Amino acid sequence: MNALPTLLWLELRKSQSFVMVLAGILLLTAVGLARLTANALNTPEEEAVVLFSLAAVIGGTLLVVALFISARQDGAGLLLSVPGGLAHQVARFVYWGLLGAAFALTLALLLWAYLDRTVPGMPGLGSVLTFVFYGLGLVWLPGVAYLLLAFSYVQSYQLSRLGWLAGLAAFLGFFGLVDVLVEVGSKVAYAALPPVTISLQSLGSRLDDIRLPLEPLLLSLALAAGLVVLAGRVWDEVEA
Amino acid sequence: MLARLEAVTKRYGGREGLHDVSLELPQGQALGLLGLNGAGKTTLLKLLAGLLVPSQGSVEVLGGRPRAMRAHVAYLSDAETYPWLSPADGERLMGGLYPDFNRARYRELLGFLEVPSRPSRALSRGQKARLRLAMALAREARLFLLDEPLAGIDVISRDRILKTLVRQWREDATLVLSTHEVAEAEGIFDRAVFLKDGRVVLDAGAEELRARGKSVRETFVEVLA
Repeated sequence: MNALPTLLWLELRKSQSFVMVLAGILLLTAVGLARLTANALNTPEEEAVVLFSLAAVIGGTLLVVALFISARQDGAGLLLSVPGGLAHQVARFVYWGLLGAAFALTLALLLWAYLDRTVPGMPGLGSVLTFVFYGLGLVWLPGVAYLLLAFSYVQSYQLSRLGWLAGLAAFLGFFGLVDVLVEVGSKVAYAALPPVTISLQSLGSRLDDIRLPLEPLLLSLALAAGLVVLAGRVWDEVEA
Repeated sequence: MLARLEAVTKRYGGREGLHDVSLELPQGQALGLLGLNGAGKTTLLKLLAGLLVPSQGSVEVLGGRPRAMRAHVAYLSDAETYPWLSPADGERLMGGLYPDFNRARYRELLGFLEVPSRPSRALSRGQKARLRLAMALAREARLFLLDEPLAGIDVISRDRILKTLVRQWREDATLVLSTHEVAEAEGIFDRAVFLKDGRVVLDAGAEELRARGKSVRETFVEVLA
């Protein structure tokens, strides 16, 4: 029996109100972009970027809060779970990864659609989407995996007294790990694998194509996979 | 034997939740686990469910480790369910996660237990308990472990549930139901295990209990006092 569709549905049911708020943010951004006009202080393009940044920060924060609340929601302990911890954590990772990706892509699409009409020589949609996908893989997916692990860890072991030292060490250790990965990523970047090329030709001679190294992206995805497996182990460990 | 605990002790830090408990659970038996709050009932159920591992001794379910047998065990904890969960959501959730979930039986149980079609947050405590009970009992598991499943349900309904669902317990599965409402356990269970401070103080079949010439309540007071 494949439990993944049901576990994804469970995540959706737990986070329905947050999904609606995220949709509301996107709608407000779309309406805001449609109503931008020139004024004495800023150009409409500058305002569009500010609006985009505001929506991205609020939406991103909301996603993290929603993930935390969803992870804490009562109900999971009611019945013995037949699917193992990894199945639960993979479902959470897929759901929140996709939700964040859908939000970021829609937001980027809205901004691109606006700037494409007003700024001459905007890069093509394909280039913008490639850039967003690259960012999601590099930052958002390992971020979701880390949050899943951190929330599961804190919730499962109910850190207290000296336990907080272990929790703090784990929390800070993650940033140390990221630091090491950035260093390794930068050393091996462009070394073995072909880069991801984002074409900016439509901007004419002002910019060259951007070549993004594939190695750090793969390291990030490997890190995300490792963190999800660890989160699954925490789930199993606590259940056992 | 469907399940077995052998000289099981469970410690939480320096405190003992269970001490040297040995039990054998044959197939088809409805066992009442009776004891005051903190007697070790939940610990015993969690050990059988594989949610805890014993500090000493061994636990076996269907000839294997409890954790490996969870597909055959229906465990109902005393935890709250999701506030948005309606009976229809319960069917969607259980049907998708438990291969042995019987949808027809679930609907039958919802009717018998008179569970309104509303989200859990709009149900009374007793109605929530009935919904949880329907979700657990609709599985075709081999071992049912129910932790205080009747808490919050009114006396008349509890009596009806016990007489209908427990007294006529299926022959192909074993039930372990914990409660501290001993008065209503009279004549319901095939066997009663009395726990006090993590120890089994009496393990008696229905015949033996009757032969003592006392009600379950009187026996409870006598052995747990």
